[in-house]
Amino acid sequence: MQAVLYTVKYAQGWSLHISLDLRVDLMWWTALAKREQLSEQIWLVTVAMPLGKALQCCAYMKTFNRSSIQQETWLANIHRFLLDYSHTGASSALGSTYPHSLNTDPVGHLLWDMQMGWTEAGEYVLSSWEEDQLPGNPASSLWKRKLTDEAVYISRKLIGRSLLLNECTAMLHEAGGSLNAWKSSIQLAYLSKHIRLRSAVHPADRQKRQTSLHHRLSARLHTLHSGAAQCLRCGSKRIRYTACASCGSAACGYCEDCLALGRSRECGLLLQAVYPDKRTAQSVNSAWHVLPDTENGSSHPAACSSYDISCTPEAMQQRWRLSPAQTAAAYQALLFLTASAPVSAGQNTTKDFAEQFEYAERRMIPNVPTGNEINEYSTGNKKHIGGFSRFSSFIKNGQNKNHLRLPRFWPGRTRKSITHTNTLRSAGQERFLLWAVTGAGKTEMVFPLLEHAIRTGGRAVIATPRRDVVLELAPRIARAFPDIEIAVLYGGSDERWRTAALTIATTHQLMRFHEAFELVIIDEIDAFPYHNNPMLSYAAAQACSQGGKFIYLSATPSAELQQEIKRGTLAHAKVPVRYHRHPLPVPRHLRMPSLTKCISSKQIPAALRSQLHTSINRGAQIFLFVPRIAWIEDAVELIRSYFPHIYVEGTSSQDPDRMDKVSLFRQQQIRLLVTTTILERGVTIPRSDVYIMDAHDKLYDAAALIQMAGRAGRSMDDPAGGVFFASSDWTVEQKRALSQIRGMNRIARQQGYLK
Amino acid sequence: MSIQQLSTLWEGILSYLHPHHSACIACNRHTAMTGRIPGLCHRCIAVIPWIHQPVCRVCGRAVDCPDCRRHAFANRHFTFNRSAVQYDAEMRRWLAEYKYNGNEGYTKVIGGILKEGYYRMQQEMTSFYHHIWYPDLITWVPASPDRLVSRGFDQAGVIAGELAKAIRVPCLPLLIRNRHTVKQSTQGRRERMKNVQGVFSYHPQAQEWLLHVLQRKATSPTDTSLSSAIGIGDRKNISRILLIDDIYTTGSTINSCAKALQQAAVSRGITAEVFALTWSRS
Ligand SMILES: [Zn+2]
Ligand SMILES: [Zn+2]
Ligand SMILES: [Zn+2]
Ligand SMILES: [Zn+2]
Repeated sequence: MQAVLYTVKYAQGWSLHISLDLRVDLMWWTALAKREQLSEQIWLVTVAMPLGKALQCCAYMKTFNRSSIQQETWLANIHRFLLDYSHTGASSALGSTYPHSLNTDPVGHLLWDMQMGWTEAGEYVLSSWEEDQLPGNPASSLWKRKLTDEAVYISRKLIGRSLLLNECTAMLHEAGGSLNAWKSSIQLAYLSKHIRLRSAVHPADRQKRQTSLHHRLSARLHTLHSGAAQCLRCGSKRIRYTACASCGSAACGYCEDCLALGRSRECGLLLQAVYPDKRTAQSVNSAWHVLPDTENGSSHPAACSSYDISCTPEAMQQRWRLSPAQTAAAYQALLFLTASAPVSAGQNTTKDFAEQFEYAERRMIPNVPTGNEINEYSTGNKKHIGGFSRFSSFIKNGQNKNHLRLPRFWPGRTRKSITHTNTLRSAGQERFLLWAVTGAGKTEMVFPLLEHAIRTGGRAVIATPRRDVVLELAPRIARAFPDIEIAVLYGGSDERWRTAALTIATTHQLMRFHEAFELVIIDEIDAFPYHNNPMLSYAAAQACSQGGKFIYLSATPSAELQQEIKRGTLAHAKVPVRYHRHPLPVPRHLRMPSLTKCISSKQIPAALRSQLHTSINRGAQIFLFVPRIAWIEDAVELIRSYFPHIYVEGTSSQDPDRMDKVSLFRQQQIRLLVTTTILERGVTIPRSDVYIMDAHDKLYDAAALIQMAGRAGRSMDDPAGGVFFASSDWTVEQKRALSQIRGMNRIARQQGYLK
Repeated sequence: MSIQQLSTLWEGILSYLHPHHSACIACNRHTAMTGRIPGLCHRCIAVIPWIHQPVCRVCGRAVDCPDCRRHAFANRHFTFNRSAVQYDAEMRRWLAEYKYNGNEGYTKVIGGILKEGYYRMQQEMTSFYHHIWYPDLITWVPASPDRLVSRGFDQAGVIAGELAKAIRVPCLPLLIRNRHTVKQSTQGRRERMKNVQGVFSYHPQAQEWLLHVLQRKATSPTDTSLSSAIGIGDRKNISRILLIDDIYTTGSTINSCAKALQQAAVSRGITAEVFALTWSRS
């Protein structure tokens, strides 16, 4: 889309803004001036330019020292930026099909002056109207009232969100709000700092101040053309530039990585909530009655003053029926959650000053980048639009610390591990890893953490890479928290825009949130979407509020995470034992030729054959994992030829009948299922043995082997299922998997968790 | 040598060692590209359901076609339509990725397929007319203005432009879409026919452009020698327009575009032949 670019002159300097409805801005700045004598002049720079370029221009001009700059220099520099942009091919290559062209008028048009009032051009702008803008007379109080109502509505709906314009309109549409004047109302919400307008694809910011103007300009242009742009929704830097009919640019970038969620584009608006902040809200209120009614907010209904935060491990164990190992780990995680936010430490003296300074700067230059704001909360300030309250404020009261005693009955970790949590991530978001073996019952451990976050007024999300896990989790969590609102989000769910205290979502959905959750629980942190995928970690960090906390769940943490544990930079707790308190089955090695050899010779080696017989005879369901989908069919045939008396099937992620076959396997109709790693997570079969063919294959790392082995012996009735690594080589990864399983069993034994 | 230079050097060496080695647009696999359809791996190229032999002479459908026998369609303003591929599930996915998800990486895929469809059409038409068949100019079924703004590009226009560049024929925006049509897939056959009436009209400059192209054709020496050699000297007054779209369903869109083109031509006394080439045939 395109936007208007205009600039405001103050006694102390200049500021540059974009607008979707200039009339709103004119009313805003002139109203503000009447009360506070701030703005002196408003100049129109250009009526229509690609949104992304306009925002880049604003960001660029911010690097100047705006307080001492002369009018000519200021306008000339803006003009120079625009010229440079249009000369570098951005608009020159436009074909006749794309009619918009950049209006680079060398001088801006004066619209309003404090002494003279409206100029002719100003009057013209005020009387103009476009589609999607609020019709009527901007000076009338009716117009302002209507606009304010809509802006408040939009701001409320956007709390905690990061949405593209079309997503935003879809959300509002679903909520029943008719939005025929969205340009005007979004503009007002933006001016009043309730939302932030960004271009969805933006060059990575370079905040470094350089000395000479010329130097800076060339550096700026360098970033414009060196492809350093980033998608602000998913964090990807894979940007493709194409001619764009919606903004008229010949090289408008779009992100190639998050296309599935709707195109994120340089000239596309990304609307992000600004965390409600009382101080700005007040200044806004005094200027124009825009402030959303703060009185009906207060904290959300799930927050509960009677919630007993001084929860003991014993109480927790009882309430959630946890095993001792689960209790110990969950309690450590809970301590991590209640540990006070490190931001507050030792900053009290500087805080007031910073606050004042910031306030002053904001009044002076209304578009100070909000990214570096101190988003801290004082305790008395619990009322916000939409009812959003942070439990950190509560934690900072401090008295609760006395209640948190470490229980005596569990050995090993003490407070020492908690101090590790103070190692910060960049945004002040802390992490804690719950390393729970397969079948440990991690979902139950998460319950007390969710409860804590929500009862203390926060919001929590559980993000998991797989849709079926979301669907499986949702009813369990709903049963555990019958009085709490839950939103279940995944691609294609009809609750897409629902806001609730507790959200269960696929990891992709996190991209639609912005500083929304105090607690972000990420399931299967080692699973493929996170694994070497910066997109999801970007999304997760965006969705977590400043000072919010992460809890990672994993049975097989990545090498990086294990490294961090060794270095002591990642707080964690291990659950070394399964829920039923039997040790993990230790894999046995079956030395045999590779699967392809078996298939081509149509022979199953005697060792494997007799082992399979044993499994069948003991009545176990058999998982037989093969590393390649292409081998499934041959493997099935080979096994059928040896075991004609049982039902053997094969399935993979590409099998349309997969669900049916899995359920037949569950019902013990199918006795032996040949499959690839796709079934390694999630499927639990009561009595089962696991055979991993070609365990030496390079596709299998220790984590994959452990996950597959984890399918065996999960039930109380048959805790000692068999696990077999059938391979021609005994590889490092197999050794690693074995030693990790043995290690967990050892810890479990030492800590007395085993039955 | 800076790191930047070093890495570009390495990239150069790598691309020399592994020519055309990149990710397939349709399946994301990293394999050697064959080059027949740019951006696609050989496996994805193998699934393309080409229409080798159209069964219906009129609309180019690969199976028998009641639409073209129907009385209602006798009032046809275009000569023939040919489509490059059948609109199966995979082609539907590709087109949706391109059109609705905005993955413009597909431009070269869709465009490449269309180009092959064009060559096939040219061969067939040439043997049908007994002279070398080629269009005098190319135009396309335009997207509606609001869709153009929200989508950011006009897919038919883009692939028409690509084709025109490849075969060196002028490509001009002869048509204008007047109002937003209700999404066709939600309507019955009859409504669809009715709905497109008057949706398209010709560009204010369309007549001039047509005249200009005709004049150029008349003065082009190669053309005269070629046509006189084959013995069809009188084709100079006929303007042959190739109309491009992404999909042919009932033919009503193509027909009403052809009608608008015919009107533009007739108003200046030009005889126009409108052929349609669509990317897919449902
Ligand atoms: Zn993206
Ligand atoms: Zn654009
Ligand atoms: Zn492919
Ligand atoms: Zn037909």
